Amino acid sequence: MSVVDQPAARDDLAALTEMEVERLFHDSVREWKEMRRPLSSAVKLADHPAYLRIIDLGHAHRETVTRLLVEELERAPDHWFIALQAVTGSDPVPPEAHGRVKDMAAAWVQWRSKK
Amino acid sequence: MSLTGRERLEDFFPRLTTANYRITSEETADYNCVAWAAGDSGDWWEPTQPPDPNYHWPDGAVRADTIDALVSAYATLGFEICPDGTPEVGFLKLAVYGQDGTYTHVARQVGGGMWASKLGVFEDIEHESLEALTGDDYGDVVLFMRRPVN
Repeated sequence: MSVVDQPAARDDLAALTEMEVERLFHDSVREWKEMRRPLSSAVKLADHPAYLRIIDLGHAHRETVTRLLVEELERAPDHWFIALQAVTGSDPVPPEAHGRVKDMAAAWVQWRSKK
Repeated sequence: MSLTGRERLEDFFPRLTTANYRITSEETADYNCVAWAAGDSGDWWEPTQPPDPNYHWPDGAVRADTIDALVSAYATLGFEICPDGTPEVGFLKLAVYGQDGTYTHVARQVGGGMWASKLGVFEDIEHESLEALTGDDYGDVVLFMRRPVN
């Protein structure tokens, strides 16, 4: 059984090693990207088990998942902002970048580089 | 194995066939159909509730995912509801898709009787018929809007 198949209860996620967190994160990213529909709503895109699993994983492993999310944004800008806000409680995107995915991604990359 | 390009689009929309549409962009999460139909390929338009400033929504428009709210958003740009999607000289037309009172997609009329659509975070396409995108994801075309071309 892969990590993805296992129950995502908070206690189970907290017990994962960093390597397992990374594997579950990347499996979940792949699953979300493969399964998502052609929707016009980022909120609805985020309402998917794989996306919600990443948020749960982030609550259990905040530093690691924040790093992975920002790396993912840097590699391929996408709608990870809802997850990043949920995991970090922050929103470093300046008003002039609002609505612009690449600029929002750049703001998160810069935010993490300063931490 | 995941589907890509035409295979993926034709899986989403079985009425799309090689003969009735063409892909006109790479896939991108930079903008959505609502922005694209308004001529904006730099922003993601979404009436998040509560308001999330990360997503654009026109000032003064109703903030909801209803068809009425979408109409109010396009009204800020000078669009008004019109009877149908028949091409009219001097007007740009939009076709709004929806189901259960919620908007799902917007297509923009382009030349030659074709329509242009941005499909979620995937590609832009030009398609011959509006029916090609009807189905489980987008429901049906529920209304048309138009505004004078400047």
